Amino acid sequence: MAKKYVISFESTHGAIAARRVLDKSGMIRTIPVPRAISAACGIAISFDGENLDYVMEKMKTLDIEGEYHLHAMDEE
Amino acid sequence: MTNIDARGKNCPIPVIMTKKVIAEGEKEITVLVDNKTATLNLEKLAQNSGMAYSCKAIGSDFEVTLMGEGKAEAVIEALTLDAVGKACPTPVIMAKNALLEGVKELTVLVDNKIAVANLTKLAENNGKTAVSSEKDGVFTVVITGEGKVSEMIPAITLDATKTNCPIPVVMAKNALKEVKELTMLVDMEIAVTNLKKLANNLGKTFEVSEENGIYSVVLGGEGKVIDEKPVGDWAVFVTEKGIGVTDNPLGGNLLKMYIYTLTQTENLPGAMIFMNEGVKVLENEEIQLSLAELAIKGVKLVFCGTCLNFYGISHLCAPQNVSNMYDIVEEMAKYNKVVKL
Repeated sequence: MAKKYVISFESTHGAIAARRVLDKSGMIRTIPVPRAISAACGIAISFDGENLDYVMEKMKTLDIEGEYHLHAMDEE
Repeated sequence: MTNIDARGKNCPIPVIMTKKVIAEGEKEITVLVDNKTATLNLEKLAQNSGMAYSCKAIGSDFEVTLMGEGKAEAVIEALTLDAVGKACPTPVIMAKNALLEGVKELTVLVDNKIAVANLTKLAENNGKTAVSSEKDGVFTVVITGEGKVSEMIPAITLDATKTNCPIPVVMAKNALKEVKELTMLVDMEIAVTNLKKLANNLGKTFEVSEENGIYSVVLGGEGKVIDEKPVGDWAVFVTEKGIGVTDNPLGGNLLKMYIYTLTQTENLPGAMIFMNEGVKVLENEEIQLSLAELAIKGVKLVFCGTCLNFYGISHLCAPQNVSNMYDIVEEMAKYNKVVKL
């Protein structure tokens, strides 16, 4: 029952920039925005709860405050 | 008169095919084979069955003729298998097939130590003895003795170090069709994670130990029978490292998302074929994860060997998963719909 998180973005460029700074490739996956979430851009990133702090720390280094949203997802 | 075309088949298959025809009472048999070892084995079979043997070369192939009244019930006394250049589990599967035919003295030529160890294990697990020797990098393993041979190979070790996911998973899944207890050597954590998923999926037990950065993963227990039939009636053909224009970061991200989304869908493709820059998916960790999941679900992954070689990344793919243009054309022809990305 690992908690999963998804970040959606207002712009495609924000999503691509975020993917670039999140270099722990094996832990972070680029996914299409889940249908349950609506967002301006179709690219989202997904990761396990254990990487939440790492991801949020990195997100702060990007100048896109307020242009992305964190969603907690329940997975099997 | 019966003609047998056994080109492209590894020993002992040509010998087994010929033996069946002898048993049917045929007095004149020609066998077309493409390697010298097969002709030597057929000569032995001829002597053993009391038939006259002749052989002539046709281009790079050989046409062997066996004439006379053959002894139908003849056992294959001695047989040599040339498995040089073949990666495990192929040499072990060849040896097992020969032993199942009742070969009394089996000689197998291989070019690596893992194959020697696996053949020795095969002999011991079936109550036989194996003696090995080495000369100029070629190992000769001679298996003799009584002992009943089982259909499944009891235990085998495969070396998947240096390869990238999904290759270790594909190797393991293919081997488990013939092997009961499989030990995989891998050098990446992601491979261990994916092998664990495979074990769960197949109902196998999973154990892992690590030494000097090499993980030894043992998949044991009974497990489920692996379904051979393709999972879907369509195929995906990937020829670039991204979807559409690839000189900006969007294309690469779209490809990652596409392959991830496939893992989440019900209607899976039967195969994914990677050619030209498409083979570079083996360098991308995210795509590796998704491909391993697809492989576990039964999607066949086909990599163009020429392309791996061109980009200098052949080491990322195990030889048994590399395909040539013939395989790729055949694979594509199986499906009504091939989607090129």
